Amino acid sequence: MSSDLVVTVLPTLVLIGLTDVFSLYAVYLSISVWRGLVVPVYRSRALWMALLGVFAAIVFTYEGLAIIVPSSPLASVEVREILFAIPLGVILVLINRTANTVIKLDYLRRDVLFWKELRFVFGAVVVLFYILFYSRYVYFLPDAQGFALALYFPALVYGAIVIAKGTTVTRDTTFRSHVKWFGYLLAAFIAGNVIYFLPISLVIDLVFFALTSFCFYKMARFLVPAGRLSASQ
Amino acid sequence: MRLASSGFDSLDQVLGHDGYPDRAAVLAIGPPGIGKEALGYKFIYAGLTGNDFCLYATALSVRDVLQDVQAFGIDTTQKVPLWLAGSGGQLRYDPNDLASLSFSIKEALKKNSGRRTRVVIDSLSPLLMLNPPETVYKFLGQLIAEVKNYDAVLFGTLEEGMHQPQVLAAMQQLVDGVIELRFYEEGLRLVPLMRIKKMRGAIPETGYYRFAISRSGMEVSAYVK
Repeated sequence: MSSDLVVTVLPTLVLIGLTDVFSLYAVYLSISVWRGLVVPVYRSRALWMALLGVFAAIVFTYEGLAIIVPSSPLASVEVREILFAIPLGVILVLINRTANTVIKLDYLRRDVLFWKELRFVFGAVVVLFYILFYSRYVYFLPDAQGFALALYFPALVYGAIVIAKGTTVTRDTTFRSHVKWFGYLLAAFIAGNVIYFLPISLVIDLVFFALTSFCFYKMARFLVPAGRLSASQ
Repeated sequence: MRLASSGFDSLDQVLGHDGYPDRAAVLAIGPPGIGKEALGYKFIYAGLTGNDFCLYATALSVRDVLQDVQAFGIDTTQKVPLWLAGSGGQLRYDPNDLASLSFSIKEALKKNSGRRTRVVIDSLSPLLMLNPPETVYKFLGQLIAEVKNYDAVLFGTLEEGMHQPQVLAAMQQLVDGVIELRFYEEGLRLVPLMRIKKMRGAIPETGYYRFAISRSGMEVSAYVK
């Protein structure tokens, strides 16, 4: 038990703590920005950032607790999958909002890779993803989850390309930093999911979740440029 | 000194003398989405309400701007400004062609020389992105000189984060008033604050103001740490 405590429980608790601190502070920053901004497109992006942060904190904490208490019925693969799919869809919505921001930031509001037309398809993909993903549990259709992921990843890649291309148009350095950290977040998140299926300690998986939430914090930090108030001011 | 109301009573009060000074150029600087455009919209529509001649210059289409204006609860059906816009306006706005832009604004000022005039340029950032900064300084300097010849006020917006600090400083140097809207970190907090960095005819302000812009107006209060 004592070696289990040192090898699994303590690192898991530390990593959950780190993950939650980064995620929840990012939520706080996002809500501050949401409250301070006026234009709906930018506000919406900040709000979805906050929502993603809340879901990330819940899911990562749950994953961590499932590692500590694997025998609990709540730690079943099904429950974890159901929870895990929520932020997946929110990431797509956030990509949608960020792509809209890319167009708004361009002084001529030019389209990027037909985004203005295809964003409706993108929205439909988000809805379909949830329907297909959860239909496994509602209608017992195990194959539907595969279809959901087959829809999800092309949409994710297309959205990421739109944002990356759009970033070359704007000269907003803060937005570029925001997008750069979004890219790191996706990379860390995907790496964490790949590691989940490898025969190594699940605690390593949590390291990637902590990294993901750090990237998320940096994304929130670069939602808007911010000055610093000195004591004299 | 005659004053031109900003369109927000709360902002007029903190400007030092109930509005922007006459025959002046005022610049609003801040990140995208914080509300610079809202200041421009309100300024123009306050002018239209007072029967001033108003000109709105933008690289966007009139339709895009009207959508944004309506989001702030401003009625755009009664009176409209003269549009110098990317598309849909009476005059064509091309950020690459500063000479034509300058000519259009100067002609409009001349034609309406008997009336009080308000000009909004939203935003000056595309001009700085597409032209050498020195050319934009010259364009703006000449335009401000022209504004001072008439009973006019020029209001421009500038995006923070898209230009070099020296370019922002030079632009601020050219104008009579600068309103800065931006987020500030204070410890772990992030707060949106407004600062009147300078305003001709007013005592230089050192304080910060909390602000919130909504459909119902603008709330401004002194910021105390």
